[in-house]
Formats: sequence, C-alpha cells, structure tokens
Amino acid sequence: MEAFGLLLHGFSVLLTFKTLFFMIVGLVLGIFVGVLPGLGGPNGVAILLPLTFTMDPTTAIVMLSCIYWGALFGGAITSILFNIPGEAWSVATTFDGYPMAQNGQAAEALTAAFTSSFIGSLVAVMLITFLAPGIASFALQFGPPEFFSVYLLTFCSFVGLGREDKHKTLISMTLGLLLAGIGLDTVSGQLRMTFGYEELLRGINFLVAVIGLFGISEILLTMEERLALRGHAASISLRVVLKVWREMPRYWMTLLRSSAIGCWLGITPGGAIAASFMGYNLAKRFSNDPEGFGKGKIEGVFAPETAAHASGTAALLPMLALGIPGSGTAAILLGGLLVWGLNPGPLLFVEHKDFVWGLIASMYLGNVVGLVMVLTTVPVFAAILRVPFSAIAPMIVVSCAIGAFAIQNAMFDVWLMLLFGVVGYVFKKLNIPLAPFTLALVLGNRAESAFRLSMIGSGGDMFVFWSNWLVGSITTLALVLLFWPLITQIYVRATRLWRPASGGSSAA
Amino acid sequence: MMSSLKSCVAIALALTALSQSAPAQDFPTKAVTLVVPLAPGGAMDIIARAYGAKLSERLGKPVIIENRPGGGTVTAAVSVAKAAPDGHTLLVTPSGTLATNATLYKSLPYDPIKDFVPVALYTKVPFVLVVNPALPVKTLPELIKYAKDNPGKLSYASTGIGTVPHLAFEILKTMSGIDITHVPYRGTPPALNDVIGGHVHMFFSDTALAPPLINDGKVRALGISSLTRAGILPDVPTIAEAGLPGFEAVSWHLIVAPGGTPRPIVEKVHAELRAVTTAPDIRQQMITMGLIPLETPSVDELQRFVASEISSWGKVVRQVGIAGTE
Repeated sequence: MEAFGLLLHGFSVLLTFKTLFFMIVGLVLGIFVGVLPGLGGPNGVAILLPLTFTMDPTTAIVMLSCIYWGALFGGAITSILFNIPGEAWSVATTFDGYPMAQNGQAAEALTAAFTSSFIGSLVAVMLITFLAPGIASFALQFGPPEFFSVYLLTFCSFVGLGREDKHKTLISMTLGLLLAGIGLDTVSGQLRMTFGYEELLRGINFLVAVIGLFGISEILLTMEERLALRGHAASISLRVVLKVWREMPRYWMTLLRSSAIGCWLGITPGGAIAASFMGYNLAKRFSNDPEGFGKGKIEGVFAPETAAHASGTAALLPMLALGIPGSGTAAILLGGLLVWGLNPGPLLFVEHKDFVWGLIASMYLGNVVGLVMVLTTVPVFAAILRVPFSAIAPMIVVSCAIGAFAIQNAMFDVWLMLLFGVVGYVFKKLNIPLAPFTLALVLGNRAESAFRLSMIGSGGDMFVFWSNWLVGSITTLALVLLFWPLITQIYVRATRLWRPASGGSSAA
Repeated sequence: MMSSLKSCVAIALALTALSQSAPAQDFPTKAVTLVVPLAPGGAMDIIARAYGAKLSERLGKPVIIENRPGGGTVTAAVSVAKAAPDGHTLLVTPSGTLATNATLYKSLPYDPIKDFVPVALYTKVPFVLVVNPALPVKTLPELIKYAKDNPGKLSYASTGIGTVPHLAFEILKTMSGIDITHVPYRGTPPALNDVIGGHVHMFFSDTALAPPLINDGKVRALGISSLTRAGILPDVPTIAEAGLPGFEAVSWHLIVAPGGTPRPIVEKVHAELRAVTTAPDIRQQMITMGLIPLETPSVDELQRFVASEISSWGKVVRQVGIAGTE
C-alpha cells in the first residue's frame, strides 16, 4: 500500500492549475496528431520536446505523455471512419471498426474504441503503479530467440486462426515478407532489392504501405461500386455511449485477455502492433461467433484497441524502471529526461519521487480526461460520415498524401502509397486478405534479424528456440497455432473413431 | 538514376554559378532547413533542435529541423547534396555518412568531398565499453586476458555493420589480438537490453543511455572510446588509459552545406554556428547527453579533417573486410 500513498502524493503534485492546463493542451495536440495519418505519437512528441526544455520536468513530462495518450486515442478515429489507420497499431481496428461505420454504427465503434483504449491503458498503468520494478526485470529475459518466438507466434496465429483461405493468407504474408526485405540489411550490411535506386535504400515504410493499402484502395472500391457515394445518416447521441457501456461487461474476457497480451508485449519491446493483431486474432478464435468478425462486430474493435493501448502504456515501464525505452515514443521521452537532468533507471524512483509519481498520476488523470474529451467529440467525428462521399474523397486522398509524405519527408513515398492503393484494390478483388501482408511488412524485418541474431548466438543450432521454458513454450504454442486446423481435424476424426476414448485425448 | 542525379547536381551547380553574385549580407533570405538524417528523439536531433532555436534568433529567419531517417543516413545526404547550394539547406552528419560510407559502399550516390562543404563540427560522440556484470572482468586488461583464455566463447553487440560501435570493437580486437563474435543489433536499446540480460557479453554503448545503468550496477564500464574522458562519466578511464595507448574511435556531429555553396555564406553560417554551439547551456546539454563538446575548427581545417577521417576509417573498414559491401 506504500504505492498507494505515493500515488496520492503524485496526484497532489499534479493538481495545480498550470499542470492541468498543459495536460489538456497535450491531449488536444495528441488527438490532432493521432488523427492525421502518418504523423504519429513519436513525431508529435519529438517536435514539441524543445518547447519543454524550459519547463519544470514534471509539467513537461505530463504534457508530453498526454500528447502520447491523445495520439493513442486519435489513431482510432480515421481507422473507423475511413479505413485509414492513423497509426500502425490501429490497423487491426479497421477490420471491424470500418464495417461498423459502413453499417451506420460509427458512433458505437468510436465509443467502443475509445473506451477500450481507456481500459487497456488503465490496466497497464495499474501494473506500472504496483509492480514496476519487479516486472521490469522480466523484459531482460528477452533475448533474440525470445523475440523471434513472439514474432513467430504472431505470424502463426494468423495462419492458424484466420477465417480466410489458408493459401491466400500465406500468399499475402509471403509477399509482405518479400517487400520487408527491401533496403539496407542491418545484420549483413548488404543492400537488398534496391536495384541501384537510392529511394529504395530506406526500404518500404510500413505506414506508407498501410495508408495506400487500406485508405486509397477503399476509395477505389467505393468509386467502382458507387454505392456509398451518398453519406451515411447515423443517429448520434450520447445515449449511444451509454448503450455501448452497458454492452461492455459481456466482453470482459476479451478485454482482460487483450489487456494481458498488451501489457506483456509492451514491457518486452514486442510492441503495440503485434499486440493489437494478436488480441484481435485470439478474440476471434475464442468467440462464439467467429464468422461475424470482419463484418462489423463490436468485439473486433474492443480486442485490438485494448491490447494496443495496454501495450503503448506498458512500454513506458521499462523506460522508467530500467532506462531502456520500450517504444519509439518512450525513447523520445527518455531523451527528454536527460535534457531535464534526470537519470532514468531504478534510482529515478528514489531520487525524484515527485516526478515519477506525478507522471504515473498523470497517466490516470490524462486517460480519464482524454476519454471524456474524445467521447464528447464522437458526434462531431461521426457526423463527418454524413458528408457526401464525392466531397470527402478528395480530402481523404489529400490527407493520405500528406501523411505519406510527412513520415519521411519524401515525395517517393507518395507515389508508393498510390501504388499500394492499386495493390490493395487488386487484393480485395481477389479476396486475398490484406492483414497478413501488412503484418509481414511491419514485423518481417524484426523477425528476420531476431532469427539471424539467434543463429549467430547459437552457432546455427535451431534448438535455441527451445533452450529455456520461456522461449520453448512460446515457440511450441506458435507451432501448435500454425497447425491448429490440422490438429482440430485429426482430433475430430480421432473422436469419431474412438468415441469412448475421446475424453483422454489432449490434442484440443 | 545515377545519371539523372548527376544532371540534377550539374543543373544545381549551374544555377548557383548564376546566383553566386548574391552577397553573404543578404543571407538568409528565407527559412533555413537543417536536415537530421535520423529519427526524431536521439541525441543528435535533440541537440540540433536546441541550437536550431538559437540559430533562428541570430539569423532572424526560422530554422526548420527536418528529420529524414532511413537508408543508413544515405537518403538524407543525397537530398542535401541535390539541394540548392545557397546556405538555406544544411545537413548534420554523423561520421558514418561522410567518412565510413566512402569505403563501405561500392557506389555511394554522393561524393563525401565534392558534394558537401563542411561548415561546423561541434561535438565528438564517445562510446563506452560496457560488459555484463556477471563476466569476471573489472578492467580492460582483465577482459583481454579473459578473452584470450576463452577464445570464440564471447560475443559483442553493435548497432549494425559498419557503425562506430562495430568498428570500434574491431579496432580493439586488432590492437589486443582477441577473438570475439560480432552480433549486430538494430539499435542501442535492444543491444543494451541484451547485455544486461546476458544474451550478449559486451557493447560499445552510446553515452546517453548507459550511465544510469552503469551507476546502478546493471552493466560494468571498462573504458571510453575517446582520447579524453566524458563529462558524464568522469570516473571511467579512456580505453587508451586503460591499456591500449592511442585507441580512439568516436563519431561526431558535423554540419555541412551542399558542395558549391559560396564561401562567404559558408563563413557566415560557420560563425553563427560557432556562437550558438559554444553557448554554455548548449554545451551543458551536450555533456548531459554524453557528448564531448568542441569549439569548431575553421572551414579549411574541417576540410582536412574530413579527408583524414575518410582515410583512417577507410583503413579500418578494409581491414574488417567489409569494404564495398553495401
């Protein structure tokens, strides 16, 4: 309960007019930054970092971390309304969020996204409050083999648990992995598939691809179908919020599962992206109605959002407790700590109590205030859908182009985005799922380098993936998920053959 | 592509020749862009934003910090090489972009000497050799002896092939005659994480992230890669002091303008940058971030400096056997 007393002290640090003011400024900026595709939380925090050099550290970190919370909330908005993920971790939110908006349930989807973000963050903050130092050391057990096994698990869960045709999932994933190989290879230092073209040195940026694959291709499809050219009249009122909240307890298992996945992958720098995909896939697998996923199921919004935000928040834990950033944004905040003259690490909790507990208290308060702010804007954002498509489509294309350009300040990326728009269109026409492609594109590089570092470490011995209980159980689970469809088939046949012995079989 | 790039440069040069008459007094006529070839948030970015604000006050025009990450800083360098050589576009480079890449790349899409004019060098970037505390070595000579007794059993982390942490360790290996396996990570945080976790034994870490971990006993510091000690770690000896005299392997932050920028403008930016990067608060910030602040040498000295860095890093790159691999 010592932590509780310190937390109260943190709130007392926080509750001054000045700090609260900067908190709200941070949240507003963050939501704005999150809504614009391509301009993510890390960019927002980095650009505003110099403004805080002259502030006192507590106010500064409260404002910066609130930009981060705001961006986490804002990322969901464009995913749901326009099928354009504002952030990489919002990709999984589009799977059901966008169909919901198309069915006239934009307000429900937004409410679900915001509320589940809030729950995910809250669980992760409580984890930080009460378990910080102990949990942080868990991250240290993760070496290259462990990371590879986590990535493998994410890939395998897609193949094994996906609703789509297995061969199409594999085609999509393989193409993504191929494209992920473009550019400078960090392990060997070789250039791969750049064909002497220096723009390709950077590789294919994931967000550029995603903006094209989801946003532009959706516009192409809509133009072709001419169906959605008129706006959607959605009934919008705050009653929707209450309705979603009443429904929420039914999905407690999904929320809990996603929170746990998110916290785990946030602490070990596996990242919010892997967490959101894994949360979504597992929710689908354990749902009573897996067929409904992808067609506008509210659970399909709850699952990835909770996981992504639990992960985004938990990523701050290793930074505070160890001084090792768990995410891009955490790395920038860490830079800030150094500028303000604070040394991150375990001593931070001892030497700068005001700062640490002020920050943790701001995670609670920032999330509550942020939730209220975004919920009140739900009707405004949902109303955008009433605007006729022919008016809003050019604006979407322009904002996609700005987003793609802003990521690396490169015009080449805008052309690439348009190209991916066409690729996405073709994929949708052929019923090839886009999700495995994007997943492979974002995690392919990391999975590859984790695998090769493991091989350097073990001298080429594959058993390094079973060298301790942690990596062994994750790898085994990954392989079980990969062959899940085969296993269930064998199980069904076995129970048919030996009906009396079915109770003893453990294959399921 | 190469030829179109060259023609672009040629056109840019031709245009400058026409506009060379523009006197330095008129500079700057518009916002100055300082390109940072790395993602936002690192030491280089944070320091650049800090002196960028001061530079903007002195020049009376906005200074825009533009991050162009990716492609091992090559794409940012190409974009600045192609920019109009009028002083309104500058690039801050680590040693890799100009010095190491010259030998590392088979065909670098820019010429480190011809395509850029050095303007100001304001800091050296040292690296600190840290080992997992479970390793039974407390000093550099002990490490060298331990590595000789256990050949091929130890591994070291780096932040990628051809980076300073990689090459620094290769120099150390050559000077001390030890054999240690190289494990290239994707950046400093994962590498440090794995040194603490014991997945890899040692690492030349950047000096911003490592100090708290050293003070906390999570990793053990054996030496600093610069010739002078770093202000942030005053108790850690230099590698040269610790047993390998003459050892130096540091990066630096050098501001360059596109090749062909008129000398008066270069001198003007040089003078302004000298003033802002030696301001006490900026120097203090550099020290806090683990850097060793410098007062910039003159433009002529900088040209000689870049040439000598290209030749000395080139020697290491060839020795390691990775010349022309990229």
